[in-house]
Amino acid sequence: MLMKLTGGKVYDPAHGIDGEVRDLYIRDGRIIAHPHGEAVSVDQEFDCRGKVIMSGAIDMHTHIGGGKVTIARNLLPEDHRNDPVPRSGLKRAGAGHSAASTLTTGYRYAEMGYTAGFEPAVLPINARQAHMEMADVPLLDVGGYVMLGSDDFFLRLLSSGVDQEVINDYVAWTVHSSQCIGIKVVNPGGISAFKFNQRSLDLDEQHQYYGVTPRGILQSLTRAVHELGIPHPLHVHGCNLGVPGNIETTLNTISGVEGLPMHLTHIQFHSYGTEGDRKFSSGAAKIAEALNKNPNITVDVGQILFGQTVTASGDSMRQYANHGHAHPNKWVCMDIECDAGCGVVPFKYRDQNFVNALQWCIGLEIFLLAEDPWRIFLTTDHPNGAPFTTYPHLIRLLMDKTFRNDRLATISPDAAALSTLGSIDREYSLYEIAIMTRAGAARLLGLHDRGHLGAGAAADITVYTEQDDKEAMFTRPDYVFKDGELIVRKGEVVKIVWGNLHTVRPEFDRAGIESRLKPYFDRYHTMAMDNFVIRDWEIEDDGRSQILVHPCRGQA
Amino acid sequence: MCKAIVAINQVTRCAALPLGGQEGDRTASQVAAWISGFPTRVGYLQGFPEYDPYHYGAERLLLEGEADLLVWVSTLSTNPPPETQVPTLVIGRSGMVFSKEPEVFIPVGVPGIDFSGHMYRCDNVVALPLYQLRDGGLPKASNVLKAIEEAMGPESS
Ligand SMILES: [Zn+2]
Repeated sequence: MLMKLTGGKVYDPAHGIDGEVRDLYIRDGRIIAHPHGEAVSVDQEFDCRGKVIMSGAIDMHTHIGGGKVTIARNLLPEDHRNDPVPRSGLKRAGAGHSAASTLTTGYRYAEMGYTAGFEPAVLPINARQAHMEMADVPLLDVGGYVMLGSDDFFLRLLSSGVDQEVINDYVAWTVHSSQCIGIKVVNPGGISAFKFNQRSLDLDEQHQYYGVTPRGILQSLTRAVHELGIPHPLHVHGCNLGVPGNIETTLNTISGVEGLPMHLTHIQFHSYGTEGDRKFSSGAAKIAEALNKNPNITVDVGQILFGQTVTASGDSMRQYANHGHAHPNKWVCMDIECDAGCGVVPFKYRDQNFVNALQWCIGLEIFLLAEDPWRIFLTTDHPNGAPFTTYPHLIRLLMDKTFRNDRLATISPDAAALSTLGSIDREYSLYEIAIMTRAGAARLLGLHDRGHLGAGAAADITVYTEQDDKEAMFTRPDYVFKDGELIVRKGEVVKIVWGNLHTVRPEFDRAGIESRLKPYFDRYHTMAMDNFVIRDWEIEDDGRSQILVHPCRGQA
Repeated sequence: MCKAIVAINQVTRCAALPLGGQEGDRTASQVAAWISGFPTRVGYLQGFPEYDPYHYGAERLLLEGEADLLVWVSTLSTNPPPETQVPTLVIGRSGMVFSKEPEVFIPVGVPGIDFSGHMYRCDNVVALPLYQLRDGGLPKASNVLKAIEEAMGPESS
């Protein structure tokens, strides 16, 4: 079957195409070169004249699976009771505003033109649950970043001073076993330190039991990811999340990896100074300057937007420290196995609250001061800064200076007065939005056949009607295609398909590392090593999800 | 107890490990939570999930005559369903013994023996893989449910 999308304005930054009118052809789920020569018989044509075409959007950091999301669901029946989603058409029922049910999550993403989302906090021992939940998110490709850096086995290796080779093998073994595409570190060593009753762990502070520092952990893991050739750099949720003055830690973290690739996630939460009467100020300018100067660094913002949400994080140390802010007043913190931990704290961001209003400004300042859209990504750290359904609103804030300044005039005046936001004229272009939400994200993760519209790309495509109101434009695409199937028409789901699971499988010495791991599992773990490893059949046997393995550097 | 744990954590570390569940109820509760947003005992009468452990408790619904049909899905245990006046459809582990024959009994295989699958441990945190150990020729409960759904047609799915 040959499909043709005729006459749309195409934004395809991976090929430098900035709003050119072009025809796109789709066959067998892939974009193909323009068929020439012999009589071309198009089976289905979509008139895209006057419309904007981009590849499907990719959310490179969104908490859509894993135990903590379901803890949040169980913790917040009011989140679901207040936002019921009746079944309609092809869509089954669901519920939820900030921690929506899995089916509803998939429908909402697709209806906004997203075709992939990556869960950034997969606990190795709980990876199976993350995959089971993500498998129940329809219409969306998924993948996970597996968390290391506070796990007992790694900290033992590091403190015993083993060769980097051994750490590399362990990192690779964990990516394979958990069926993930990247490595995440959350509050490096801090989740473990909290188990030993340390209440903070700054970059050069020692873990009292293992004697290692966050700096050492970051250096070891960035190097492992780099040497294994995993495309996505180490995904770092740094020390001291949310602490006023953490900008110094963040800047030292950037210089600490000595030029190796590193991704700093939800950077907004790590960009706080201590100036002013309230000892809380924006560090956005300094962070943006460091980002602009260090090409090895990428960031996603973790923008906050006002309203009720829930924060769900592996950072049990910082979540515990923030539990006093819980709204409504209930929360969960967990130490989990030898692995890590998690914390779930519901939260309401208020526009008249000085700190929240300044957080809103800081995120936007970082977006607008960062020069290279290929190295900054549009996220709210769903649901931590706001639910992902706010993305169209966030896009409008970035693209429309008047709209932004009107909003700025409504927030806490004390916060607005301390922010440079009102003096920033920049407006993001559609091309830059396409980079941040598509081409850049695909490049960052090593997804060769996603995030672009060239021949051979998977036909994940979104078609919008161009509008001045960018929030309206990005809320309701005209068409969304997933692997060549039309799944959304005029903002409504018209077909249910199941997405792929994106993974990488770096090469490593399995026998060598398993000879260390097997006795470790037998002695310390609550499950056998064999059961820890997630097999392909667990993902693929229901006939819905397919595992896609992307090459690491050096692999064919 | 939760309050004691919270208080102790102000100065040192302390945690509780809640354990419980059997016959797959932890697993059912987890899946119900991610699919519907709520634990088990959810009603879909209004077209969307409503959580009400009292009103949607199966025992009460049967006792007070509010149910028209009991569908009993139980693939791990051979314990029979509660006896009731309403017609009963059992999709149950092969070998289930009934004191009152149900209207329909579809014997199915057991996950972890006849089929692969997943099951939560009693800590409600870690899910383990279940492996297929034999081919007993019995159908899988999920396939039986899918077939019933298909037979009822798209309007009722
Ligand atoms: Zn996050």
